[in-house]
Amino acid sequence: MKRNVLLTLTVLLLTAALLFPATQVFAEPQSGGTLRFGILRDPEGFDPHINYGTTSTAVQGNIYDTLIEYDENGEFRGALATDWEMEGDQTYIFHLREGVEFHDGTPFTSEDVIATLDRIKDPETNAARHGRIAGLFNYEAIDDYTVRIVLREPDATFLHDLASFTLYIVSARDIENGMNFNRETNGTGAFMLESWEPEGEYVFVRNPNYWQEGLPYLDRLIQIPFQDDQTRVNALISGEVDLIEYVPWQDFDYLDAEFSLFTHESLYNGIRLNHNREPFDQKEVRQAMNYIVDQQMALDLAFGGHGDIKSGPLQPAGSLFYQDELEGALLPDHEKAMELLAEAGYNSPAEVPPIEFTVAAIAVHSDTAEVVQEQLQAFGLRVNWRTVEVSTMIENRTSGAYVMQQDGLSMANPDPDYLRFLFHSRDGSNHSVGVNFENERLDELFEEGLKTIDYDERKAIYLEVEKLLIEESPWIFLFWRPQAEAAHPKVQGYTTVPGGLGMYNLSRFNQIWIDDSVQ
Amino acid sequence: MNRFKSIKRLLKDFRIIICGLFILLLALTAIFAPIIAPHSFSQMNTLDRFSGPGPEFLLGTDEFGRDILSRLIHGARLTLIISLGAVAISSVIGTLAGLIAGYSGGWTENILMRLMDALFSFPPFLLAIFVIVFLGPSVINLILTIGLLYIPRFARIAHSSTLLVKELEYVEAAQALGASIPRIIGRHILPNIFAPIMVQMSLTLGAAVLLESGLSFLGLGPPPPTPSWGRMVQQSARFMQMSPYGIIWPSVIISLTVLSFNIFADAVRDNLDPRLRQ
Repeated sequence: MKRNVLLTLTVLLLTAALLFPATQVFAEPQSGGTLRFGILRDPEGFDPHINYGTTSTAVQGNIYDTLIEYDENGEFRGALATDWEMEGDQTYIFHLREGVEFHDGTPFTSEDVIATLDRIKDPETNAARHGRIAGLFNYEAIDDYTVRIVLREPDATFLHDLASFTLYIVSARDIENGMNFNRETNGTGAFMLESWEPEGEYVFVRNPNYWQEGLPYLDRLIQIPFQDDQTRVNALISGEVDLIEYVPWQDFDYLDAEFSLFTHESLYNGIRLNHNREPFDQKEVRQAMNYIVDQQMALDLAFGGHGDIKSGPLQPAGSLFYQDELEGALLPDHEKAMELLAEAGYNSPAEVPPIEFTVAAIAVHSDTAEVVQEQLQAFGLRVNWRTVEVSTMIENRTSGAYVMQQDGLSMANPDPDYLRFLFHSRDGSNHSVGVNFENERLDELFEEGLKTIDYDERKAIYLEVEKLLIEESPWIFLFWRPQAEAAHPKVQGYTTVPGGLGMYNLSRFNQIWIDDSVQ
Repeated sequence: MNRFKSIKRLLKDFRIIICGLFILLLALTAIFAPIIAPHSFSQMNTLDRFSGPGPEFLLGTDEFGRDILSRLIHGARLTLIISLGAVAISSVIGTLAGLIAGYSGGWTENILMRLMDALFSFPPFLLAIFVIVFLGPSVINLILTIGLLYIPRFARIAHSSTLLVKELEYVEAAQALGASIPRIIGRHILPNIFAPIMVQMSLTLGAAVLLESGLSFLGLGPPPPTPSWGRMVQQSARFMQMSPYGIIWPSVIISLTVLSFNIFADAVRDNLDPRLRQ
């Protein structure tokens, strides 16, 4: 008898367990609840025009809004501006959203947009976008809800500037009153900062007058720094927090199975070759390096195969400027590498002088470097490892004090124009300037690409850019390394932005809601 | 006759047999590493990552699919070269300094021994980190740094022993006969203070292994691809949940090695010190 009761109970429980998850799929967003978010480090400051790094955008981006923003496909949509139009190639008219209020109740008008641009233009502010805004030809308010911005010359990347973090709109009155933006906050965003302590909890409450009807769903958002990767992961597993950023890839598989994992590609790993130093003064040797290194193997061993190598040399999958034609252009080909070395006058890899390999002592770089070193040595090259501090690695970018350096880069926006800041002979502050890299045709293409507005024409230009980069091989092009956030399954509505824009995931908490039915 | 007796006595102690055999085995492994190692220590393999112990990879593989056993064997080479090199430097310089200070006395003694005190007052690990960061990690720099750090250990022991021995009659006799100072120190004092220095050498070898592993763990050891035990522990720690072998084996080997040197030193002291002998 007893056994029967037990059996019935078990069957009932199993049925319930089977039915329950099915109902979740159709669940409607619920309002209320608190989201506890484990972040990488202290956000440092709140000034919406200063770049404190990705972690800080989760503070800035939820308090403030931009005129336009990226949607789930990485395309522009209106935020504080409802829509916009162009007059000719250089003039933009923005129509602002009416009825928006700052957290302190001040209505939002064109005056605030102009004051914000003025503040960024003021060198005293030390704003991240100072150069871009100071370079505008003119901007003015036409009426309370219309703004006209005129560029000096056509610039295809201008809208990306407006959508980027560090171009958040602040209130004209706050600027006038001399508010300390680094320590005080007053935006139009979904959340208001209620209390905070350095290295402690940053508590946000719902903005009841938020301009998106019914949003945000959450009552409270609490951000807590956990510097150590494993501590952060454990905080999620133990339930201390509901969402974490910067998940180490070792935990991807486990968290994907037991929790919700949101992966994206926002950071690129590559190896700089200094073309002023032997043996990389010969183009053929640089090209050979790209054919010796097996990108897929490097990604498999250094990041467990998470990440992406498919995308030609330098565009992430999902980017509007992803070049299908270049897929597989850099597959390893040792015969070809041998031929190239022979053309450079080396009959065998052993004849190539030893290569000094500069590597920063952090795992995201040293793991990759260790695999590449092994691949180069297995091919027969001699490689001498040199460990440096991260700060030295960063200095080397502009000083060129290396032969070959393991490095990485992130994109501020998905426009391929970011390559200009690497490989343009004068604008290339991140690479060319350090090693005096110059290719006239590349310079021309970059300048043309910036001025061209038509999408198809631009795509063709950047195809040629990438082909030239493969030809010149200023880097060993590797892969987009994986990045991820992870959440408890009860966290719903988290969206990722494709095309290397993962850093914007963290400023979109207005859509997140907590499903109470999930335990 | 006397020497033969003391060696025989040492060989009766089972601690010396076991630890001595382990150290001998380690030394032979290090010398013949390329012949003994079943695999290349740097060969990476995507398909064989994190495998557990098995017939192909006796102790398993690490996160890059490299054979852990082969890496331990080659790591033994590195660790022993660094430790032996360091102890050679510190014991020769330290003993010499102690002998000179102890025998001559006066200002020479004062200056030499205060110098040793100054060196001794630094926490060895901190000083090692400082020097390695400054000089850059390489095998030679590690040998020099660790060697330098352990000089005072030998200087102090040689100094205090010399102070005792130099008062003895046979030293006075040698002096009376007009023997030169180097001859007195080399022929009459050194052989009689050698036992405690040998004990100290074994102890210091253990400490050097630990210090080298610690520095490698912090990323201040020899650069890759040279395998080093401390670095193996550090690299595998991140993957502990995926496969514990990468961290277990090198940790076990480090502990066993340090323990062997220490117990060996203890046993030698017990047997050579007349006061501790029953």
